[in-house]
Amino acid sequence: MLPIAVLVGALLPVQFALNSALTAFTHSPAATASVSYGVGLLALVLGLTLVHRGRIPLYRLQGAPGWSFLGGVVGSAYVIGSVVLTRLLGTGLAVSLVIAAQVGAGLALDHFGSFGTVRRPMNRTRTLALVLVLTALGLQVL
Amino acid sequence: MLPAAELVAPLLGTVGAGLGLSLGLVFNVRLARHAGHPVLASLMNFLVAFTLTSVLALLSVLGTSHLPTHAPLWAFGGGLVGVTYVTLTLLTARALGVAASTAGVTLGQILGARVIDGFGLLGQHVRPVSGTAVLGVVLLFLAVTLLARERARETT
Repeated sequence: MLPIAVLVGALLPVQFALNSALTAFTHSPAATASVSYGVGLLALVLGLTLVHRGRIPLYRLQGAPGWSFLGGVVGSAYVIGSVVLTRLLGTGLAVSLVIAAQVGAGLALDHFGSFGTVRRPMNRTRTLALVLVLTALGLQVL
Repeated sequence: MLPAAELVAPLLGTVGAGLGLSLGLVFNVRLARHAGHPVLASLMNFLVAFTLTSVLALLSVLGTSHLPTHAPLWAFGGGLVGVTYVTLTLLTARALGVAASTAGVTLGQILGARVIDGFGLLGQHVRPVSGTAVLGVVLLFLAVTLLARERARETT
């Protein structure tokens, strides 16, 4: 199963590269994100329709807190940001920057316990991880 | 080094991508927990994101948009790959546990990216991989594994 996880991980830079190639034709990261999310949406609707035999159980989303529906708003920043980065710096550096930013943002969200997450303050392990991430970026950018 | 003005776009891109991914995940996990159906939460996520980015594209917020009529078919595959990635990471996390799955997926992300760059695959420029970059990538992998292990120990 572990080799499968590695293969799954490799899909992310493939997505970065494909979206960055598409941007050469759309001339706009926002338009690329729109096409990319549109294709993905279509695939999800088809897949869910197939699995649930024509009746997607949308009612199960009822009563969830309103803010939890807005993941796509912040998520858009991720696709747009990844396109901008890949076009400027290549997939290698783009993926590294995104992983680093994700670790940093994750540590900050945990530290303050924002948005209903369990509060996990910084400790020695987490500080060490942050130092490693920053060193890793320094080595790749310089 | 890049001049300061040219650092603004990558910096905004990094902050946007990092925040978007980690904060977006918090929102989605909450919605998925409520629905008891992670893929249903992904559907909502893609619907909202598609609507928002379409409006941004039509308003030409990040540059005048063109219909990609001359783009080769494979260039439209980003969304499909994205959906596959999101769904499969849910499965590997369930099968392997968060720590091992995060470590494996991160390794794949880093290796895949360097292979694409090194050979200039999928329409990318060839960007040779330097020794310091390899060292940096190893440190990054260590950091992610360290955090994933800590989290796994906490939840068991």
